[in-house]
Amino acid sequence: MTAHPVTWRAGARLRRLATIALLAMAAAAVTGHGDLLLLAAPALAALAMTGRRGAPAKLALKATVAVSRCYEGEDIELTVSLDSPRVLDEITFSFDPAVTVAVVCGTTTQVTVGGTSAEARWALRPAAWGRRTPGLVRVRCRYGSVWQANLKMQVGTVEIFPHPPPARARLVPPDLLRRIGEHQARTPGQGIEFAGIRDYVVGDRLRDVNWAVSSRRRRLHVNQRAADRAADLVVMLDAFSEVGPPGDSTLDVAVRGAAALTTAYLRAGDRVGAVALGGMLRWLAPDTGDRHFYRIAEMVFDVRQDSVVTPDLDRIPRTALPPAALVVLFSPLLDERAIGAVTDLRERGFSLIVVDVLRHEPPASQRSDFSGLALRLWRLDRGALRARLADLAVPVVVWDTGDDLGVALAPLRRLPIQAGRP
Amino acid sequence: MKAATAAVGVIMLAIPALTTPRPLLALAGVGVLLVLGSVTSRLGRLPWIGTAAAVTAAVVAVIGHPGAVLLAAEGLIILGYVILLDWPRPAERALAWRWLRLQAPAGLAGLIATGAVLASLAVSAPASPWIVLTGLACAVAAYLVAIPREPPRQR
Repeated sequence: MTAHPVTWRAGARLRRLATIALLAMAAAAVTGHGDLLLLAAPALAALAMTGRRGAPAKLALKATVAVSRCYEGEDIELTVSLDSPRVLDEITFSFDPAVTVAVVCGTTTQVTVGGTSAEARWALRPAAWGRRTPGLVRVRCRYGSVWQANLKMQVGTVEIFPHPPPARARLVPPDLLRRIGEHQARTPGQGIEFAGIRDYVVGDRLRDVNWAVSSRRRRLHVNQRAADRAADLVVMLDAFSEVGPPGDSTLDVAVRGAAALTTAYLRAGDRVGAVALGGMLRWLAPDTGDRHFYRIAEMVFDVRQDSVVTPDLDRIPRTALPPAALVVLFSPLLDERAIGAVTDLRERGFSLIVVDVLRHEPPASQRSDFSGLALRLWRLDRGALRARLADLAVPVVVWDTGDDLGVALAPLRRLPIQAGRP
Repeated sequence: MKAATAAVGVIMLAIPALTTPRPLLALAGVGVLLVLGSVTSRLGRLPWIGTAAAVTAAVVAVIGHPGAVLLAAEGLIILGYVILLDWPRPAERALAWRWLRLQAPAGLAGLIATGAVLASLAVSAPASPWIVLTGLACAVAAYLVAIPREPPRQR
């Protein structure tokens, strides 16, 4: 609990009483009517009752958030408490939530009358990921009815992890790792998926013998199974541009999409890495396990920075961007530097998918006749950009709704993902 | 509590309006509007609205000059209105009695002071400009005490 020095100032009541007393006294003096003092007497007496003597010089104020980490949409409890060495007439707590935080329970302003301590509670629901402060707490204290002190305190930061929409680890790069996983490789192995039938060779297990085929062909045949392999996924975030309302901006959507794929692939035992384009180039080498999700999320917290620097992808070490990895870029495709990075990666032979996260078209002005035309030209330009990427064998998936990311990525399951230089 | 404040405010303007000349009744009407404004959520946030309503009532009382007993009642009602204006708006109704108890000393002091002034007015004393001057000086002193001061800046 922090002790805050306070300055007691005259409140509105003190000014009102003083004004009325002065007015009545002046009127009595000017008109010579002594009975007009009756108007001033109660106000003067009430003023005489007020004294700043004994007002506490310091007040202990504490704002506590129940958790330091949560997911978007989860409720968190904020408790603010104030302790005073003397009895205060009134303690009023007000909470100004941040733009992306909603107050779920508790009125914005809470009042306690008479006492040495007071407490206010709010249930908050953050709507956007990031390392953020939920808001600002203002406290107004009254002492002796007319003296007033104001305090304010920024609530400590809370790490809000992106809430991943549902997705499944269905897309895999053409070359899988030599590690056991959940994806069926093209090569035969010890998996469970049926891959074909071949002649029996010495060393094959008897339980793999396909007796139906063997009896028809009068020669032993065995079933072949596809190898179960793990994959490497690298999620790439384009933080060069951010458009849209807070909480639903392109970067917010991109991070949620990346979180969805990260969760899905980590759950399937794959390795997932992350690269953030924009501001300072950041990367995290692929790794497995649930803990890696939190490492990626914490790296992503710092991506909101303006930058004019073009990323040099050569700086990313090979371990962070393995050649056989499937790279999924979440981008609104608005910044040429991000498009340049896509071209660069594709020319270096990476299997690449671009997820277009732009949900809001530029607003057309009703005043200008040419705004409609400009919007159509903008759409054509976007189409041309997608065609340019398609020529490089980079599929572009539009994810412009908040639905399942798997649904948006489903068409790609039928198409082979290109690897190698175009 | 808003209704109580508004009612006290309207009474505060009605008492002196009884003896006010008809052309100046419009001033009381303005006062009533200010009273109603001071209890609404939006205008009530402006502290000068309540002050203006109380000042209007005092001005109407000075002009109307309705006699000592009514002036005494008017002074107490103005005090009551000013106290009620300070009611913390979002507070629960259950806190009302507790809050009113905390305001009781101010009201009691006002009552005693009014009684004292009424008693002194009942005593016939020769008119003296010194008494008036002393009263004026007291009012100025009270006002000077009340005005807010910037705290000394720490170096």
